[in-house]
Amino acid sequence: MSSLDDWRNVATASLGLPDKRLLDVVKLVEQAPDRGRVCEVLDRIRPRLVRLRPPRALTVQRLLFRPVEDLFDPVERYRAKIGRLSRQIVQPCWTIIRALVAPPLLRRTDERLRTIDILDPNEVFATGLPLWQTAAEQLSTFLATDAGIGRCQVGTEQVTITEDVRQQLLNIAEILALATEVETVKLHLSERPIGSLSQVDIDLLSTIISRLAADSTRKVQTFVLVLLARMARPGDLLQVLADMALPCSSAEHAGLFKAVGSNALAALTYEAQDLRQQRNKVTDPISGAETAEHLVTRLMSFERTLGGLRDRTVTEQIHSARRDIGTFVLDTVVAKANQELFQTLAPPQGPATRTGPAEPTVEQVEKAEKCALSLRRCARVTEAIGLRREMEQRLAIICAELERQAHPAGAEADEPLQSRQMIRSARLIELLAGPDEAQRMLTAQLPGRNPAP
Amino acid sequence: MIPQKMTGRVANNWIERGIAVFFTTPALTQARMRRDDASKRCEFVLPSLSGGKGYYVMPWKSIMASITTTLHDRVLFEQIQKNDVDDPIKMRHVTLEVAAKGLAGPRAARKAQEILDSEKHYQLLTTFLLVLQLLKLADLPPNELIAQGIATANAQKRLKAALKDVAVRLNVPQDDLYVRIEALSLLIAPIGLPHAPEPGRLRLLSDDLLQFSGNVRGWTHRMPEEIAHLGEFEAGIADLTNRITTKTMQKVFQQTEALAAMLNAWEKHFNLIRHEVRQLAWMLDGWDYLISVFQDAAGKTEREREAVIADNFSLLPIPPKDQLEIISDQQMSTLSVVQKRWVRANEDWRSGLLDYEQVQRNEGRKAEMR
Repeated sequence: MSSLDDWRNVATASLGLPDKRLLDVVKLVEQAPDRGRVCEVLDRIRPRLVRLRPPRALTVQRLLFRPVEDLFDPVERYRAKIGRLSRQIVQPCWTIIRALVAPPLLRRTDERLRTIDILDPNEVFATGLPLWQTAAEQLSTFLATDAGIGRCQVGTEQVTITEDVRQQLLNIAEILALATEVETVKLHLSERPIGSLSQVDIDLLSTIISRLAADSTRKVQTFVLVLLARMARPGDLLQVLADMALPCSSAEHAGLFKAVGSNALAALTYEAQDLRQQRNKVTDPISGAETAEHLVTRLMSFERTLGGLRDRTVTEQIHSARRDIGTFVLDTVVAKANQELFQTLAPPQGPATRTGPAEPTVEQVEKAEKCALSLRRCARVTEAIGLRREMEQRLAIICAELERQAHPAGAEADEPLQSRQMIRSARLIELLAGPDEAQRMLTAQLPGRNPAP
Repeated sequence: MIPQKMTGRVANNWIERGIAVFFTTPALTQARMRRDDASKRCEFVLPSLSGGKGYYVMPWKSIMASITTTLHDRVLFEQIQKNDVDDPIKMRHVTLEVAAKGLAGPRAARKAQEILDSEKHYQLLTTFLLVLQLLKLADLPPNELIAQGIATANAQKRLKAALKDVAVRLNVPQDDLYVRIEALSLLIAPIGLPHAPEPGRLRLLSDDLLQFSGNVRGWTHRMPEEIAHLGEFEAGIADLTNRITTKTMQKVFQQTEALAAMLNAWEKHFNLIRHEVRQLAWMLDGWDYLISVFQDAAGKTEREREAVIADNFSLLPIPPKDQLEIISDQQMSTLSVVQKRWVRANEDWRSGLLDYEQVQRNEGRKAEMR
């Protein structure tokens, strides 16, 4: 298997496999020597891998990029100059570091990785530290002395360095130099996304940030930018930074806060923009609603913290992100969920069975209920960004259609069928508009039935 | 009259403890319904409302005024009232019928229908086994009857003759005989006959208690002391319940073994068995939910298991005092110690909106009902 098409076929074919088989394929693909092609396959199935969270084998390369992994963006979403990294940087960066770092260190690290428990973060930290420190030093020296823009000879290999690649490599070198701090914080704080910061967390962060600030504010900026990517509500961390007493002038402190905040907000704005543009790529309303919800949580926290700056750019960025998320939710997720909900419940084509007209299966009803739940999530999102009325209008239309469908054609004589259909509709209305509305519908549809108290 | 006050955590009798209701609204999880027979007034003991120690006791009207309940729960309550539910057996039947309509989701509906069907079959099987037992009394070997095919005209004729013979011997009117057998099988089907190929539902549940206590004790070894205490107490109550129910079941089995004597002095024996079966149902009421939650926890992390032990402590079906001549003072004092240590995080019930993810977890548990 050598052509790119072959690898793409693997990716496309794997997407149809059940979870367990998909993980088997990932294991096999990861053993292939051609990293570029492997990434091609993995990028395509990444959305599913994110949900499955397979325990991945830890290679030297993966260990090297551990401190910077939170900043990686998919190639199509990557934007320069906001402190983020493109997944495409992995290959040239690894080529350079493999050429610069002494082979014995790489060999030793590889051997240790085979013996340690890779699920133990302390052992991984101890194994990675010498590699991160050496790589940071070598990469900075290389960028300061040898690397110009254009094709560049590193050991026996050639790497093309553009302005942007150079900037990304610089960022990586800076983060690797702070690997001790970054990885220590990761060890102590909860898993990504970090929901909230306890006082103990804040104390630890304050100590580290103060120490870094005594060196340079640039280090603080790098450190905070990495951590912001791990937060569910990044504004909380920005607030910690704003509230701290730093060993620098207040103008420098304010500049640092603004620089970090606007970089992180810009990344979110681009993410929202991409989401809006992806409208035809969204296949699953449930994950679509989930993504929108996470994005809005992050946006709201930025709004709370950065709103006080009264900066025009920040305000515009926040507004544009709101608009993009709103468009994505209303035009893409809601439309998709609506379409899937009714498609799933549509009576199957074909002759009625011996026991009566065909009915949706348990799995189909569950799928429809999941669509309704994702619409409920969308309602939470739209409420937060001020699109409540628009969402209510859409939900009202869906509920009215469900109520209309509660009486299936040809089911007048079949009372149990009618009752099942009514309850299916009532449950969906309950998920969309609440139990009161569902009860009203049920009572209205069953004349003579005593309403529940 | 509903007793107004529960003495500490342990109720004085069954009426005071109430019947566990399989609601799907998170704040009403396993609420216990207490009912005054005279006025038909219902009130609910809510252990998981505030997340704190202690209970809320509320009539349905107040629940509706203060908590958003699911459509399923509204219909369930309506059916509870309509059917005059006053014991756990009736409660289970009504719960299954409401779930079978699909109000707790499609999966729970399928499961509830399966259970209702299989229980109907099990009752038929129990009737059949009782008839076979009777035939032995008439010296008609059941094997012979089965070999001929029970549906053939000849076999039916012999069966009728044999039952007539038994009725004469027992001095019971022949028509009454079959009515009594039907009534008896309906009553004891939840336990099953001792020689039935499969045990009845309550017998299985009673056996599960031992597995429950074994599992919980296994987990508590490595847990912090305060959680280990709670776990140990839960396991202890499971063992105690198993001991009491095993004894009660033996009493029922002794009665059904002596079928002839029983059919003869019908009123006395039937009432006795009815009392014992009801006792069993009350004793095991609420355990099926707890066992299901703990079975799920087996595949989870240690931290999650600790949370399961602590969070479900308030749902523990402790037998009431009038059933507990066996419980020692020492156990009661342990209870007061663990009660003091028990601290739960507040749940997010105040937002007023239903947390449908949690509702779905409750519905999932319904789909695993046995």
